[in-house]
Amino acid sequence: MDLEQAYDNIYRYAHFKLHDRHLAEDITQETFLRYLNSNGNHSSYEMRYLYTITRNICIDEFRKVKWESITEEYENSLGDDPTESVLTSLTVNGALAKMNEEDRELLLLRFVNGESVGTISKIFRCSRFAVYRRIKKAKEEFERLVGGEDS
Amino acid sequence: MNKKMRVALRNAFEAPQPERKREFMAKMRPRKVSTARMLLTQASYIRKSVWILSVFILLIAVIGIRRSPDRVVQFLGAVTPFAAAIGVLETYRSYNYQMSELEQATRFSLRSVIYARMFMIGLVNLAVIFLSATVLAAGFDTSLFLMASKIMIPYLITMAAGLHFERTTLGRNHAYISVAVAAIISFLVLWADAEGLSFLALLSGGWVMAMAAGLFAITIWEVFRTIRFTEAYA
Repeated sequence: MDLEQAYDNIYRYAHFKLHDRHLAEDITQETFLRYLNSNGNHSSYEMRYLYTITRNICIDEFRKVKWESITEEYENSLGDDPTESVLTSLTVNGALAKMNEEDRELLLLRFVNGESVGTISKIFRCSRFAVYRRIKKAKEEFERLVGGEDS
Repeated sequence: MNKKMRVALRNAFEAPQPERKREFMAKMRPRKVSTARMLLTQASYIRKSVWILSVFILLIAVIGIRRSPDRVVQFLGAVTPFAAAIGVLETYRSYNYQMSELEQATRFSLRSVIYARMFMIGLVNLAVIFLSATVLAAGFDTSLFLMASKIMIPYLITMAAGLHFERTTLGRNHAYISVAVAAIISFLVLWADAEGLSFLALLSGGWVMAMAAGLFAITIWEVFRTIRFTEAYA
């Protein structure tokens, strides 16, 4: 994966975790610097390491900032985006708000950032099969919520 | 998950545009490229014909030692000049495609690009010649260096002459002059063999190796002069 695509994916992931543009950008850059300082390769970026570093930095950030306020802010932000005009998007945001954090994270990594089950299993430190099952469950839950709101 | 839902999901997770991405990316791009990486990058631009001919030479050695052991050295001597000619053509490539001026302003200078390509081609050709010589030396029960020298002499003559002619007006106007030189050398090797005039057979092993070493030095000198000339006339 090239630098630009890796940057976008990590930034999106950090933003998903923290819901703060500036903080997400700081964390993205910190992630790449840490990755390269630990003998990372400039030409191809190993996403599983980058996600793990981002995740760890985000955990450190959670400790600094009150977790509840962040979650609340995120859940409020879902669905009231002024640029969002499509009804489907509102339905999706509503469905996501009802899902738990981990399922949302799995959906982001698998269906938005397009990471493989293998990469996600390394980030979550569990077997591929377990991740596959959790993704399947999250997807079914998401589709059920979207379908439920559609009807 | 259907496409519509996937797009909606992507939109839901979309983060605002990062503000400092461009500056960061500019800082992150590696400024220094290791020599090995640079050589490998340039190797990927070398024409396939160079690699194909190299494999062909090796095949001649392997097949020749079994089918026609008494003429295999002459066959190799007739083929290696074409490997040298293709190598010479690589130095001419930028000029031929009228890219030499632009390449002087690129990340890797024209000089370093040509050095890298010549080095890679030379390395591959020498490796193939030495591999062939190893096969033949084992077959004829003779010295490896003597055998390598015998195969290399037509190659080095072609390379040195091709590079020299390339710097002349005639060479600048006719890109394939080195191929013509290769054809002449190849013809002379085969003709000398047919007429039983192979002068290498008359020389002692020491003289053959000394001659190969001398030609090697001349070729290196010609490479340096050609690169300097290519840059000056870009």
